[in-house]
Amino acid sequence: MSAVPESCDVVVIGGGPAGSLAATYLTAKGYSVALLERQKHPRYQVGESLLPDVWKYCDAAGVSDAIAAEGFVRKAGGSVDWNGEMRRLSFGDFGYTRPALHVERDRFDHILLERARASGAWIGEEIAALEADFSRAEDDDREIAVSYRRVGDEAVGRIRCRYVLDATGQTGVLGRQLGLRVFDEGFRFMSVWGYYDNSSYLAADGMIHPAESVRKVPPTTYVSALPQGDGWAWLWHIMLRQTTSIGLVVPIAWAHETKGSGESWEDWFLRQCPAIPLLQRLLVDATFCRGSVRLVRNYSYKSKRIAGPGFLLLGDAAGFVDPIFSVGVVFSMYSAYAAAHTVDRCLAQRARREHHRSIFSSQMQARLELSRSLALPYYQAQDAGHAQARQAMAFSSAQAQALMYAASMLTDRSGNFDSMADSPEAHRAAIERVRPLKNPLD
Amino acid sequence: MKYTDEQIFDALASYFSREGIGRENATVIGPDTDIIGQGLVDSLGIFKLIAFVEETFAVTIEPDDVLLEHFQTPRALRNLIVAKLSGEARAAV
Repeated sequence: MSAVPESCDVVVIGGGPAGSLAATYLTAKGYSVALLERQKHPRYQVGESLLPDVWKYCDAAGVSDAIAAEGFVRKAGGSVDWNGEMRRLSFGDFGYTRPALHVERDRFDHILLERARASGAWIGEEIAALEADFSRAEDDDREIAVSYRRVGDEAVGRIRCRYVLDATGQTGVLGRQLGLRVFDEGFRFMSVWGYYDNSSYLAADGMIHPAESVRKVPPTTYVSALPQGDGWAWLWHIMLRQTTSIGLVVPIAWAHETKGSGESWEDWFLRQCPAIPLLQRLLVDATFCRGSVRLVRNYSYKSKRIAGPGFLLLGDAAGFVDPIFSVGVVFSMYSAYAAAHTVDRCLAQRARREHHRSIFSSQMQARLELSRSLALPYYQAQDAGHAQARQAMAFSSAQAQALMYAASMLTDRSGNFDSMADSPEAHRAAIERVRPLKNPLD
Repeated sequence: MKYTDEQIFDALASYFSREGIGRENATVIGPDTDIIGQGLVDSLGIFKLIAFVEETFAVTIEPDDVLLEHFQTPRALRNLIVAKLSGEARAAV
């Protein structure tokens, strides 16, 4: 690996979709970028379901052809089993012409990182950023210092830069350093997930298909309510090319109550999955991938600030909510675009830096609030963020609004959205595009 | 600086044309075209549009100005620009 640069315009911390796309967009605008990634790609990452919205960001980064050539699983939509009703949502019914995908994130994220490298960004893998020194950020244009350490090396190095983007996801390097992260105490859920080989799946026809058909008959993302947790617990079933990602989102208290003393989370997970009738049916011929179970406890959070002198927070580093609608990667990509634009404006117009950051913050917060209103049970119209969420909704195209209405209705989370609908007719029309399915077990 | 309505609409039209906005569906953008609802300006396009308006007309669009009522159509934008220009002219006196 070439030597770490001593200085550059922008240091991007984290090589997931947010970091790689931000680096790509910024190099395209002529800035020198150093991206620090503490792991070596390809590396594991959960979050395999992608909405068709990702394509416009990939187009802007010039990476759509590489992604299309990879041959990821194209999905037909979602099959949702909620409160005894089985329904299907298909993106084609909402006017989307490009496919939604189920991707192995190690591969997908690696393609994006290689795109950043090809665009001219300096990519440093197995380099952990430690912290950023902002004490002179307002005085001088090149005086933010990011300290780092190579994995397996004690020596601490420093890169001087003009801006730092934190794209470190749940780790939140800057959020932690600056004490910005606030957890949602009202959403006490955790996620436990793992992988199976040779699982059957649900296609758009509502029928069960064997694993080997996945390239011929596009799968849907299967989502089902779980009986625990007042209608807010759920499971995902995502067909990948070789394996299937299955996850449970459950109340933390319930998970701990039901886990036997001395029982591993893996054994607990293996006990839960067959207890869900349709999932059990899909797993009849499947083999569990030993050692694949992982969990996340701190399930939902936001940030007191997502921008400040010399820094912006991107993607999951800015905020995270229950991922039931697969908006995570899209939000990361959106924030990469917004951040690249904002850094460009801040560096071009020093006197107006604060103004540009305030536009970034308000747009990002509005979008996060929209995700929260889609996903969180206790989100109420009187919440401070509701006006922001409404605004983000209003700025969405009719097509995107229809999809959000339909998605929220599928899981009975539509209460928040009823109060946001400016047009009841559009709301109703969107919901009518959701189709009932026969439960294959009936 | 004062602009006629025609100058403002022309500037916006040339911006949309330069950015290829509406090209895909061969949409003719008039003063009352719903550029947001039709998806011609999306959540990405809004950043560029704000920067364009600020730099072209030397105004500042505050975060609280970014409302649908100010951005839904070229006419709404024209009203915002005119209000900003007169407000800033007063502030400068």
